[in-house]
Amino acid sequence: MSVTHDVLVALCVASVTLAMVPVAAGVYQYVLVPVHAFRNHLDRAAPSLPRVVVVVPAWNEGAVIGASIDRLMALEYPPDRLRVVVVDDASTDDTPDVVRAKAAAHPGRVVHLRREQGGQGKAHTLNHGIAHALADDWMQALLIMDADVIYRPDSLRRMTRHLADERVGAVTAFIREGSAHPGAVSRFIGYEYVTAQAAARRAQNVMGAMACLAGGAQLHSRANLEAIGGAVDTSTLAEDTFTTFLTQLDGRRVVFDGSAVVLAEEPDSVAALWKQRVRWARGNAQITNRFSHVWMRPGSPLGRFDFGLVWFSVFLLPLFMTLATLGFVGLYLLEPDVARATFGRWWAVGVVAYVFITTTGLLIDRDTARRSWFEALTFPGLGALVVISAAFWPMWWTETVPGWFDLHLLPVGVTAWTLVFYSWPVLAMVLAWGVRAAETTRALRWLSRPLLYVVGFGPVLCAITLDAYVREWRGAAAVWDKTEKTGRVLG
Amino acid sequence: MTDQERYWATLTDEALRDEIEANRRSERWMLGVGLISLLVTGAVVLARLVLA
Repeated sequence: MSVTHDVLVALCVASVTLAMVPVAAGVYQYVLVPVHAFRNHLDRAAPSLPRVVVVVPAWNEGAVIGASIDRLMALEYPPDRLRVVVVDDASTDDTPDVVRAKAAAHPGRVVHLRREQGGQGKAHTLNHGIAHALADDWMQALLIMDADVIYRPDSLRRMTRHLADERVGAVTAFIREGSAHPGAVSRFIGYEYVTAQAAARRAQNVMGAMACLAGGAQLHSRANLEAIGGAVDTSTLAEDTFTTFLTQLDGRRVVFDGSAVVLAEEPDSVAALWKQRVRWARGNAQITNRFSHVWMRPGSPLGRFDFGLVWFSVFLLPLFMTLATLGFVGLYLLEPDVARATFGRWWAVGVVAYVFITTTGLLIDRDTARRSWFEALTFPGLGALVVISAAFWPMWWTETVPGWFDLHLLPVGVTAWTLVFYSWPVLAMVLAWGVRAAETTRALRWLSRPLLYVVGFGPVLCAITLDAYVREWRGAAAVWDKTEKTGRVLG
Repeated sequence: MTDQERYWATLTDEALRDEIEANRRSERWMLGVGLISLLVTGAVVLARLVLA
């Protein structure tokens, strides 16, 4: 064999090995979850009930804002230390009427701020409310929430207690998917939120570096807000992540409290999810670029190697999946036996990680586990489970199953099947576009749900991320597309 | 609402300290989560080795 051949084989193996990085980063985070049993901020928390202004940006939130305000007024928190400022961003529905009615019912505690010229995005709307809160000395802490988020009676005080430690600049709660009648997409999101918040943010608590304050449930000390400029960033689509980074780069901690739970109704269609997550992914791309001076450099918690590894594992996931496919297909063309062995080992590691991560996720939040256990198991997709079986029992799909139907695959058929399995990481992302297309095509709508389970929610998120990066690279207009909510939330 | 939750809702310093302590104890469950996940994963690895 020539040197070129050997080099190509080595590159393919390296490609496949590199594609394991997100798996390693994921397992690392989940190994830190049990450490959170003893390394968490609750030993530094103390009774603390500061005067809180809640800023709620609202554009056409008439369906949900009333219930949200009622829940805030029912918080187990001293009434004289809680005010709600709803920043109405030139709504055209009954949002102003709903909020004014609540303001009349709770004089001095609910304020309606109307922006006649709206449409600049959430960050500008928030800043309008923040400026109002900072105009006098009353506010000691500021809670930023979304109009549809429902706070449990104990949520706020479970966040404020961490501000008793002056080193803490901001606290974030656990946003649990809380649709009253969740469909497939909402159930997938429910499980995803357990992995990305309840698990990952506990790990980040242990690391001492937090990637993102939840946009719908973030509490800032006044000192932190003033230190970061008295306003949130308006130059990116990820003002929450930007604020999180500024807080930590300025030397203050950001803490996640998993027992401070709020409920939110999340998108229940792939199209709505796509809109929401393209915005988030574009925001992350902007953040990655804006803070390029921070990554993997000592001097701040965000410069930690493990934090960078975790961040880029998620940020570059579509690339890693592509590397896996290129590596396997390349190996198959060059050294089929090596390809078969590598494929089996790769998926063996993947399965071990999948079992560990899924079991942990289901045990952390058993309420969500009851609602979303099937989505947890099918998160990578039923197609991926077929591929896993092919990795462990190669003859199953090329001989055994065809044999049931008295079929015998020709060599070209075996090759085709094998290439489908080897290219599944990329194929699944391509099929994800098909899920969205099916959902928006009347004749094919019935196909979108089963296809979602076959393709997997994970690959759908990867496809959305890729779409977002392409749009960001092309310089598409950064638009705040609102996610429509119905207001039907549990509890 | 449990008696304990009603007590915490009184918002006295003592009640809030009790709530913090209760939440801190509950967080120990993460250790159990880790152990169970490890056991389940180990069982799967063992099963795979046996079936291979």
